[in-house]
Amino acid sequence: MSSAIAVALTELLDRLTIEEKREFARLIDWEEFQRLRVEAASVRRVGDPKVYVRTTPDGLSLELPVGKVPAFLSSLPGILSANTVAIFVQDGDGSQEWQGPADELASWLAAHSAAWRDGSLMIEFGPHTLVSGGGGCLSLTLTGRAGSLRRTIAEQALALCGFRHTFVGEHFSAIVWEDRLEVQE
Amino acid sequence: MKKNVKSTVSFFRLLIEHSQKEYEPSPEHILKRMLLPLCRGFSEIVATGTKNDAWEAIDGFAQECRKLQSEEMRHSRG
Repeated sequence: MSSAIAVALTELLDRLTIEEKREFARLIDWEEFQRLRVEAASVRRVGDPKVYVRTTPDGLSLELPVGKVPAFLSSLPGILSANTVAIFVQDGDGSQEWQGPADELASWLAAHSAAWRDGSLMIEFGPHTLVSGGGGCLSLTLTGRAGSLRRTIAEQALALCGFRHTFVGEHFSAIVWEDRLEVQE
Repeated sequence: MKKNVKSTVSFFRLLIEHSQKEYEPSPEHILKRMLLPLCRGFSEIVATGTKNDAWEAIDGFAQECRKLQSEEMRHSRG
């Protein structure tokens, strides 16, 4: 049986009530179905999740709904204790740089929405650097005490998207497909 | 390192990060969020950069490659 069918069957089962699951179990070979569930769990999903946060060797990789990006970026100077920010933007017409107080970042983002919606954006928060190719696709490189910073920033990203989780480990990932948060630590 | 060089190397790192995710990003995502930014970076380095900028970009890519290779070795050892 193909992996796609295994995934589809697993998703179907997750949507059934307990009574419906009992009825379903009478119709199929239960052991075969459990084997398929294990197979489905190892299949990598294709497509772009609603929210994604994962630790990397240097920091964090994130995928956020694009509308949440300004609030997320504006929260970083406080978390990273950055008083100033340096911004570099590239688009089809060339590049621009801007440097200023961190508390002006939110107004800069409001005035330059094309930069975080579809441009190439790099923001330096002191020694920490974030890049975005637009669409909520972000990568943050952290220096120093990265462990606690990663957890704090990941929790903040999830909270902005309406999800709560407290990370405990050094390495973790959190992914949201169809409004369901799945965490691995 | 100039900002356009640092940015270009960072988008190469972002591309590597996407190869290590638990899911397979869509081709459109790879194109718009990583390859087009990389193309912008390359174009600007070629148009306005120095030979040293080009060298620093390649050197930055090589550093990311070394990190990737060392991670792959660690994973293959289990």
